[in-house]
Amino acid sequence: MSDARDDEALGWAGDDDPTLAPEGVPGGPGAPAAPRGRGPRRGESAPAAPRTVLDEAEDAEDRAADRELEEAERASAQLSSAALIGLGVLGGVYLLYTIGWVVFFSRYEMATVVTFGVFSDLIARTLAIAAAPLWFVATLLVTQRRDLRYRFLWLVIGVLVLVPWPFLIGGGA
Amino acid sequence: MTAAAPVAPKRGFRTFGKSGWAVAVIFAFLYAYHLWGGLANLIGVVSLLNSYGTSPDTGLWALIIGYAVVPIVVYLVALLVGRTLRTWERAVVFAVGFAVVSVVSLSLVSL
Repeated sequence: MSDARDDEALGWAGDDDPTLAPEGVPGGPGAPAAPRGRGPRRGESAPAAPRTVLDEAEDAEDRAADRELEEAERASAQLSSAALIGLGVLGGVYLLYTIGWVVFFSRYEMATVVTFGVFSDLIARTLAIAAAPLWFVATLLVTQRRDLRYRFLWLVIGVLVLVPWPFLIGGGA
Repeated sequence: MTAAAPVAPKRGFRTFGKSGWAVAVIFAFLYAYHLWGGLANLIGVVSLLNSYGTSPDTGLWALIIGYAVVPIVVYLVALLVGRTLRTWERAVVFAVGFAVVSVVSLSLVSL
């Protein structure tokens, strides 16, 4: 009674598609079609039983979850003490820079008449004072998902760029 | 089928999107404020010296031109640095750069 149409009814079209064969499974494209219906449960499958696409998908999901967990653990890992000390030293330098700019500007006398020039000068000074802490915080924020080396690289660049020259030279603008 | 990790497009100028470019344009206006100050200084110094019958020497030329060019340079650097970042991170980079322009300008003035 069985004919080709009955067989067809028991399978999905495309089951023999070689691109569906899971990687690393012995005998991919040429292997007999995967068992239909409920496959053997994981853990108790015979070693030679070909793995189904469902098994592969489950494994891939597990691997993805593991990888995600690893990444999360790495991201929340504590800094080494050397890195902490380095960050502390750099933070101290930035603090000194900020103090340098503040001291330099505190030598100025505030103009009594507020013109546009005075106003824009005030903005420039405020920005200059804020630059060092801004750079420090922004670097920590932006590089928090990146390698520690980038964080230090950018902090060192900031130390070179933000030197309070007016304070060090001691002159007045 | 093995799980192929979705390949995120490489971040760059092409992935800026509208908000990314909006941030860039807004900060371009802010930086233009610095640039305007620098140009005003350049013109002012030159015309002042001209009224005394002299012109800036090489060092002074370098200073006042540098003062005017600083905002452009810092803006371009911030644009380059921020090109692989997310939009809010890019805005942070531009904001820091805006403050850095003041630092560099004031340092130049004090020289």
